[in-house]
Amino acid sequence: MKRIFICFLLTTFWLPIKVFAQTPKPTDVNNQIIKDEFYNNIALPTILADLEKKYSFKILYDKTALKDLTVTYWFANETLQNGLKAIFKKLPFKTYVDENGFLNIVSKNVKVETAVDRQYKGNAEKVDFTLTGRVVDYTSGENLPFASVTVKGTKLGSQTNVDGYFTIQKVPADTVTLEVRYVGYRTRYFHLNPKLNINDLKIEIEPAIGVLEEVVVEGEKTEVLKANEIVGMIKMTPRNIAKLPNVGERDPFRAFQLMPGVSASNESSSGLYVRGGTPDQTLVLYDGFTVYHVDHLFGFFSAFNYNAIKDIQLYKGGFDAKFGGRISAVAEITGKEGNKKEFNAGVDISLLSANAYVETPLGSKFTFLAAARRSYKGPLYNKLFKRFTSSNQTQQSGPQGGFPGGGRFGSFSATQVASSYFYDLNSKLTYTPNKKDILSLSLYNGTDNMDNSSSSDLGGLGGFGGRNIGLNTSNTDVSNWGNLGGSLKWSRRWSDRFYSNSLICYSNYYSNRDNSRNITTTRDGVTRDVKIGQIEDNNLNDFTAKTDFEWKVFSGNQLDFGLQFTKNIIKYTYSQNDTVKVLDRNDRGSTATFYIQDNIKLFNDKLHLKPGIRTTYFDVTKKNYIEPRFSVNYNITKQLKIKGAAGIYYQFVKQINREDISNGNRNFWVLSNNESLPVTKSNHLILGGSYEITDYLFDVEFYQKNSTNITEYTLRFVPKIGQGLSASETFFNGSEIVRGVDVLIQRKFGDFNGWIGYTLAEAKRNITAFSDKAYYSDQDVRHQFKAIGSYKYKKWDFAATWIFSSGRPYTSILGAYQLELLDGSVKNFTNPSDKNANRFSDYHRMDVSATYNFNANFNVGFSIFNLYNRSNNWYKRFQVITEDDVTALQITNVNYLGITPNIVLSWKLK
Amino acid sequence: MKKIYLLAILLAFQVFLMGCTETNTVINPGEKPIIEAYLAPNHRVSMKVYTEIPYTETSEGTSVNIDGLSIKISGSNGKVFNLKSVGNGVYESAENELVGAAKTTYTLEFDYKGRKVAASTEIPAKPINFKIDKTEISRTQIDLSSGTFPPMGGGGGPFGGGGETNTSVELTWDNPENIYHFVAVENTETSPIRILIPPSGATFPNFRFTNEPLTGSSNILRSQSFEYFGNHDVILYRVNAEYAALYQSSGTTSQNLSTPPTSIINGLGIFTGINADTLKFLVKKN
Repeated sequence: MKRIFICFLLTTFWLPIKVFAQTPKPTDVNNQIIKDEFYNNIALPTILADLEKKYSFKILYDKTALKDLTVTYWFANETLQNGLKAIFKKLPFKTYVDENGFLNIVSKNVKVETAVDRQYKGNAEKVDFTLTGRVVDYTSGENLPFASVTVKGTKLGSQTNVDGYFTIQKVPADTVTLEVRYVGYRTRYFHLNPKLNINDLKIEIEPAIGVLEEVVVEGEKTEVLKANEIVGMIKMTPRNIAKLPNVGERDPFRAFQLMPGVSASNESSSGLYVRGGTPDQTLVLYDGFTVYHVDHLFGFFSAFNYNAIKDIQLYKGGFDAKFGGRISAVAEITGKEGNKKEFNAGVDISLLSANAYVETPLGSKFTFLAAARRSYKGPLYNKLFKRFTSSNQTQQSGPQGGFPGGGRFGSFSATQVASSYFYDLNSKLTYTPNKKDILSLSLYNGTDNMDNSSSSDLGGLGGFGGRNIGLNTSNTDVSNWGNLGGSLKWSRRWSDRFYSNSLICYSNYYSNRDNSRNITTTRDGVTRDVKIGQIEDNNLNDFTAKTDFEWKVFSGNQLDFGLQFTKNIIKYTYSQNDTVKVLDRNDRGSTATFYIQDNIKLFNDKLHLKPGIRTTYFDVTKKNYIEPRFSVNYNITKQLKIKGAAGIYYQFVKQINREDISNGNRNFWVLSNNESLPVTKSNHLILGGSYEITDYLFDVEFYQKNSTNITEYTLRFVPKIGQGLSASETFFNGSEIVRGVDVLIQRKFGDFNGWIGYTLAEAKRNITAFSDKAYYSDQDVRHQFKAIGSYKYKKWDFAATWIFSSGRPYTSILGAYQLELLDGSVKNFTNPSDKNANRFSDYHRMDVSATYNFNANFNVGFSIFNLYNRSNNWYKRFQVITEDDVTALQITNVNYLGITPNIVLSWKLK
Repeated sequence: MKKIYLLAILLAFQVFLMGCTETNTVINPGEKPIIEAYLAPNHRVSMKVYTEIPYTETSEGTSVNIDGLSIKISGSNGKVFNLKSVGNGVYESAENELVGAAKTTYTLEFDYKGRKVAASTEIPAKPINFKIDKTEISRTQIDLSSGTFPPMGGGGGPFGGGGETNTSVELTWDNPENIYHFVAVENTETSPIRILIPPSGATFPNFRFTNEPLTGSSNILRSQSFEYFGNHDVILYRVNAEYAALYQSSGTTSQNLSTPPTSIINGLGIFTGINADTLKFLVKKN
């Protein structure tokens, strides 16, 4: 398709000077190579005049606007446009070629309009036709997934698929206007005309970048998030996250925690606690493969690098038949393909990590992107690390013996060898051989290595007549965990009505923890090693092959169906004192799934129904699991909408979440079976409504989730010694009921925008082993209120968030006591109260940030986490202390992070 | 239309609120007594009963001894002990009422706060073939009270004590059935002398023999672990599983609390039979 450009200018004082010649065509003239022209400190209009004379270039520009610019530049074997591009890199001007082939020089603020930006005045040539096209980022040329394209003034429309393509059937005429919306981008009104190729329309939309927003045309506004399209769904682009306050990393998952329905008071987990669910109940898909663990640095950050992400959608419940295997929510992440137009690179440096990416086209058919991030041991890293490991050290001081450190006693020394870091790496190679096929290979690798080991050396006791006696003890406390995943995707548009997307994926999650004491004794050259402590090893492998089909049967009806096959191999061993294996599981299982879902639009597209069914065969239980799903949207008026969804959801792999880091591995995965770990089932019901006007959105959703066969892991019930732990003694099953309402009031546009979210909810579990009565789940929070505001002032972006949340429940103690043992030593015991019968005090905090944009490519962000230094409870520690023959109970509140400032420097080439 | 919609929301909200049901909120601290009783053959019964330190948000609680209970322990040999409360939470059998031989089962019973507290245990057999590979070691006294480090031949740490006899003492016994055994060392001197005199004003941590009940048939005592000169009793206990269970780690934070191990019904603590064999050991002063 040949693009036709015309020039449209908003600046009123614009006086173009036309230089015109009859032949040859301006485009050919302007593409001449300038061999060697050097200008030293010469006014730009003079340079341009000189070039026009020598090469007969066809240039349009405003002499007065450029007269103050003096330039030093050497044109060497390049076109005029490339040379000017280099000159204008740091100047507020840009170039473009208009419909007559002239090279125009305009201010960067000027919006360049083309034919499709204006209503077509002529008559339609085609009516009632099918329109196919794609939505593309104007700056990078990347296709944009899940953007909405509607015919203006009607409900007729479609959403781009994961590759950025859309099809709208029964478009009334080829002169209508399309409204293209995408979160974080300016809404574009794209006016069709009969000359356009209706089978391959390319719609470029511009990202809303702060500095360039000085001229905002009415209607071209951008939203920070989109929360109203589908029941229970929120959409964000990473671009918007950058301006929100952060504690070290710009984190998409932390940003979701600011939405109603996603808990924000679990500082020690970046996982998504969605509507009373736990993070393992949320399916996290990255370019199609499942990511089983999303935490960096004990959960302060998610494992996702925002530089590598193009789009994230979060379904808070009632999700489509396409998704399965989890009972609570789905986070679908699409990685960037990389810039299709030119090479680009960027760097972010914060007090915690360094983050860099490169993206480039490789030839005309390939694009490549790589992004890497690694922490370094700056002050912020140490602060966060200590928060998690200090409790650990007190735990260990017992067995360690509490030797006094220091060099006073000669040969004795205790050294703390702590080396910890996290890193992640994303890369993606995309191949577009033709207009129908896209092949992409996406790889992700992230690792955390936490080493809190120490060693003490009692050596040097030797020297007695050649005898050498030594005693070394070393405390090993190493946790490492990470993900390795990849997907090979092939998507094809068979026709404008039929599309397929096939994937082969692999995902591995591993988590090892070695919390043990290694005692080495040397006597006369004979060494003996003893290992005391606990060693855990969890390794999960997921092999998946799946194909999704979309078939637009006729206008207003689309059929989605697909197949999925997953094989899971999950190992978990837990051993004590390098000999006794307490738990040793080696689970294998596979699921085979088929789903079908119909999208029906009725009554002039006012009513949108989505019935669907998903059926899964699980070879461990040898049963079929049938999951009917249904969702509905009804637009009562243009502004008022009611919505609802219901469905049955099953989960076959479970993550056992252990809050307590000192006692071992925090999370491990196990596979369901027939006996101790039954397949979890959940029934969802969501009802809600929304009222949306130009600048505001009011949204309310009521939800209820009834789950059965919820599994909880505990070491609360100490088994008899010598027997080991059987699964039935550590895994307990029961049911859970979650009820709640999410309210969102959003001011969508303007210099001051933001939202207020409120959630009233309740999550109650009934596990008879813990209590014959129901108890509140660990993640239960009654009220949660969030206020997020951002304000733009000149080159500054300010943002503030305030979170208030009622306290989480916890298990306290009834009392404590001491027993004297046979060797005269005294041991303390605590007697726990009923499960989760107590509550911490309310959680609240305010975070603020300020970003200064030097230009579109460079900004500095300042951010303060927990501004007023609120002490929010994390957990309580109970100790029995004896002083002067009085034995008393000491209760310590262990708190979350206090006030924590951070600085982020961001730079990018383009 | 809009009104109806609003009404529906309010109605749903109401239903939601009324749907809340009762959950755990009641805590009853101190309902269970703590018992500490080790029954050894040919010894009088002596046990302690006290309350747990109650946890209250407001005031600091302490453990209180419980006196004046009527406690009965009946043996499988037909003998019944009616324990006498002697104060400070201690209950004793009469001077001539001794615990019976190995394999005798004892059952504890008493009423406390309207509940029947009960437990039972068996007296284990005496350890078999308990041997020690040496009966004495020598240590050099180290005096750090002056604040200076004393010169020592060839260096050597304060914990080694120096000298040629810086060695380990090996204990062995027969244990074909892998029964739990536990080693304890007691200084029997009336006024024991410290091997390591700490710098004035400073205290050393307790270098106790940090043993745990083991199912093996040997153990090693390190000479460095002795704190005092003089005569010691090296005691090998044969213990039951309920005793070994006490050594399992119990949580200390609200995230990892576990129920304390006990075999006592409506009570907490330990009620167990033990049996022991004792060997003599001497730490000489160089």
